[in-house]
Amino acid sequence: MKKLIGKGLLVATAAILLTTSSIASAETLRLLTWGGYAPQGVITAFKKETGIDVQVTKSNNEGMISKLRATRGAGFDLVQPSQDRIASAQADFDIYKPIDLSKIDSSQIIKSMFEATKANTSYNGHVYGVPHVWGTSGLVVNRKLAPKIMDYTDLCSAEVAGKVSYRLKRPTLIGFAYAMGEDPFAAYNDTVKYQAILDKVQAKLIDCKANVKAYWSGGDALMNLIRSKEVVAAMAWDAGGWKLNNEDPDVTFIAPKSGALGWIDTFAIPRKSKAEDAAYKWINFVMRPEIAAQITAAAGNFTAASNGDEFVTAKLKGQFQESFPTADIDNIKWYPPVPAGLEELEGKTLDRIKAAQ
Amino acid sequence: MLTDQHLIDLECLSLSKSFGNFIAVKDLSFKVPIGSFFSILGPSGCGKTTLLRMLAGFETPDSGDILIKEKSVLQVPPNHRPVNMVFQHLALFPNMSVSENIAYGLKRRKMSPTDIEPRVQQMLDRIDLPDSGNKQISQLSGGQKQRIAIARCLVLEPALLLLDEPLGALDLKLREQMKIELKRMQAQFGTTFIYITHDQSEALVMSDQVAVMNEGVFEQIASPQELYHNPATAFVAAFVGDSNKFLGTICKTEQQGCEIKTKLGVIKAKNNSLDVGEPVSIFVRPEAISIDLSFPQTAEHLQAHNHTESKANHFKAIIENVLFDGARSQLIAKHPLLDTPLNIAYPHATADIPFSPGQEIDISWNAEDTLLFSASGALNAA
Amino acid sequence: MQPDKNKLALFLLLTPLLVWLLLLIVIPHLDMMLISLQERVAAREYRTSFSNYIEFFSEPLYINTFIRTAVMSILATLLTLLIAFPVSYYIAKMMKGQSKQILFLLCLIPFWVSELVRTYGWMILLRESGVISSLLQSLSLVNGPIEMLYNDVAIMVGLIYGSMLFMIVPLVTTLDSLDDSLIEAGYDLGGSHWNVLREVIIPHATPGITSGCIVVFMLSLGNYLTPVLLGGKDSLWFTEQIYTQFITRFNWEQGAALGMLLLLLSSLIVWLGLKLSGQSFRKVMS
Repeated sequence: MKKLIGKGLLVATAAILLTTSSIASAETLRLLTWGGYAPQGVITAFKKETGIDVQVTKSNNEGMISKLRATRGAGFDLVQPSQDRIASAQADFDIYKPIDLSKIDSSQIIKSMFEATKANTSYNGHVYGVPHVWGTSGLVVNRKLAPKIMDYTDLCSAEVAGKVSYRLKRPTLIGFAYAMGEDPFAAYNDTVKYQAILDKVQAKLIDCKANVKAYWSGGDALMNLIRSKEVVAAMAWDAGGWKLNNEDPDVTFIAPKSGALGWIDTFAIPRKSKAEDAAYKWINFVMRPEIAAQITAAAGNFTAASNGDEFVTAKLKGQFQESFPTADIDNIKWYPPVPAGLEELEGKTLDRIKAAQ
Repeated sequence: MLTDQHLIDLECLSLSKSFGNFIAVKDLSFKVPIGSFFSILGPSGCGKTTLLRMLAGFETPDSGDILIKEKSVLQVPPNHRPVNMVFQHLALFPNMSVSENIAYGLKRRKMSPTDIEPRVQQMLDRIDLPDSGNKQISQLSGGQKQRIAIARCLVLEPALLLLDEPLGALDLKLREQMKIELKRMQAQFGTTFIYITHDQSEALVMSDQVAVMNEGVFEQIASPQELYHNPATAFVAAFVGDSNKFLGTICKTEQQGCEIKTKLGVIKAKNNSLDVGEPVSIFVRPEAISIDLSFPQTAEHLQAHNHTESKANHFKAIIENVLFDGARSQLIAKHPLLDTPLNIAYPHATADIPFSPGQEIDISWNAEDTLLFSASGALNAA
Repeated sequence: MQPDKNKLALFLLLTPLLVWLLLLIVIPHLDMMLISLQERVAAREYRTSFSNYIEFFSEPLYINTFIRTAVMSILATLLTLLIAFPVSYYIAKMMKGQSKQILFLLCLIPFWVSELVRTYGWMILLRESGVISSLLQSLSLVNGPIEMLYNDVAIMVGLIYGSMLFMIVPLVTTLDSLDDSLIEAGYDLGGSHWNVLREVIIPHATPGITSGCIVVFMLSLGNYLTPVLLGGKDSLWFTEQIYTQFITRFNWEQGAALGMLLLLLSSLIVWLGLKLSGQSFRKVMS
């Protein structure tokens, strides 16, 4: 508990320090984002063009929301949570500021993705998110050692016992639900139905527990497990699978039979952002096709920039096409916004899975 | 002969022990008769503690043997030797009450509590602390702790009780009391005590036999009287009791004794075993020196002190200081030819005569009171 | 005039300490307590209630996790004591002078790197493709790789390793102050090794044992990295629950309640331990 207090204080102190430092040099953009979304080359180019420094802090969805909750929306000028997590977090904690759409150069963004994100990140008539990077999660498989893995539920088959890994987080629940023939997204607003699905998934995952080597929590740890062949099949992001494919052709990302899960990471502006203009400048800057391609190269995922894939290497395009035959692209399940309170149900399910022996 | 042998409680045979290059105990052999109070007296670093620890079993001798009641104990670990030790700082267990301390050894012998209790109480009675059983060690006075430490050992009825300077930590007055008390306890219990100390007074007062130890060997084993009056070596003479020391050379030998040339002049001695020209150390006890006053004296005084005329050694000196200390009072006198002053016992018989610094006195002692040692085996003494 | 001046000086000297205590200990705890008494009704709407505490007692998962954490911590404490005691005795009583200091320093060296690095070190040793597994295979002692990570034994090893120093330091200090002649007296009066240990050495070392045990127990109970990294899928540590509530569930209210309960229950366990061993906190601290 002391540790947690320590963490809380650290966050608070860091926030104070960051706030004061931003007063000292106004032209700094404090960006809270995912690994790979702000490569050094892009930061340098941005500084050259605008004179603005970019300070990058790497995190994940939960980390971003926790940090902003701790400071009530201060400490960062621009954050990049997934589109489905914005509306509920805004409803509960009021940590974002509405996006001024007039400041966004919408011509640079794929229209359909922009519209979908606007709809999903709306709260009380305001839009809180602009799409940036998108990708899917599915299966990363060593095709030589685990040739029969086609869907999430195959991770529980005896032939890969002790050699699989997945996260103990909500995407796993949803992925398994689809693989078991349910439609969890359709049940999002029906708590009773959703709970029934969760119970079913819970039973399956508890059964499957013996098969699991470890529940991974960081991308690097998972990649290590797959490289050392301690793990031959895992639930993971497409980009990680393609990265491993570069090192070992046997390993690759496959879209599960029941459909990959599609996510879009967005730009959102914290309520107490101190460099709003710089934030909009950054958004418009990284959406330029050639910059977007640099980010794709670093992150391994495609962006929402129109024509962005023109500049992407042929290899990545090939990997993408191999993982996603056209039918599979149509089968991608895009995350709808998570209704408030749903995560509590999921949390309990996850706790029970973890506690089961 | 058999009965004689049976009277020996402890026998050491050619016992030796070194630590690296330092020889602590050197080829030591001795016997301690049953029921005696045996002291080992020596300066610090003389090896007496090492000897005691070998007897207790905490050190292993390099060579030689230790026999207790005629049985070698070399292979017996400390907790099974019929020997107990009173430590320098007593080492009473602070977490136990007085009774528990005394009962500790009995419990280790697997005696039942019903047998232990009366024996502990009996022991407390014998050391005059009948009501202290429930007290904590920290509640006791120094002398009481001492008695408990001894009682804790004696309740086990050991063949030997080893005492490692247990009076060292006490203040002077208590130390004097405890000397008498220890002697009394030894007589009362009849256990053989092996007592080590650097304090000659403790050794002389309490012991039946004293071994004077120096550099790993015994210089002399004798009764306190013998030790004092007939020291075997210069070291013993210097270490046991106070004395005035002179250096000199034998200048003449004859049937009755010899004469020694010193800075002070010629000194006569009874000893005739040394040759002319041999360098010697001379010791004269303060109480062997008598004073013949040099100012005009009454007839009675002359009569009372006329025996001084017959003494063989006769010198003049000047009183430098009077150290009045009751029965142990001393005069410090100077002789112009000597660098160090002379210690002279205060003549209480003439207490009516006042002594004061600057006063000239005649001093004298008998030839047999001159203790003479060859200086070639030079044992430097204080 | 003079006493007033002294009072002022005392006050000035104490101020930084008091401010420190207030800012870093009292206020965060009070804040935590207030948060723990909130219950979310709807978005941005809270009311005061004990529901988070009731949740702990009605959800077997939390209680079981807490019991598991406490039992494992107690076990880790006892094992640490069992290993640290002979080591400390060796350092304090068998070694002299410089070799004593060097040995003491050697115990300290692992603590020059962070807990995370130490834990990763164990992972490198214990994992299926790790050092020990490869070594056993190359010695043909086992066929095929063996997994030593991700189980309770691995957690235990990590906890004991991580808290060893905090047991050794108080033990060496108290054993150092034990007069050698007390040990010798214990033997001299007929005691066996066991007797001397039980009757002389342990009673003397009790304050060190107790304070070492309290520190190690609290450290184990509050440890997060070791159980999570070495325990893997079955780690189930109570601090992990708190972390999850705060960071991945955004449920600060439940997390704060669990945190307060951890504080209370662990204090209770320490108090019980002191009572059972006949110690008092004052004795241990003096």
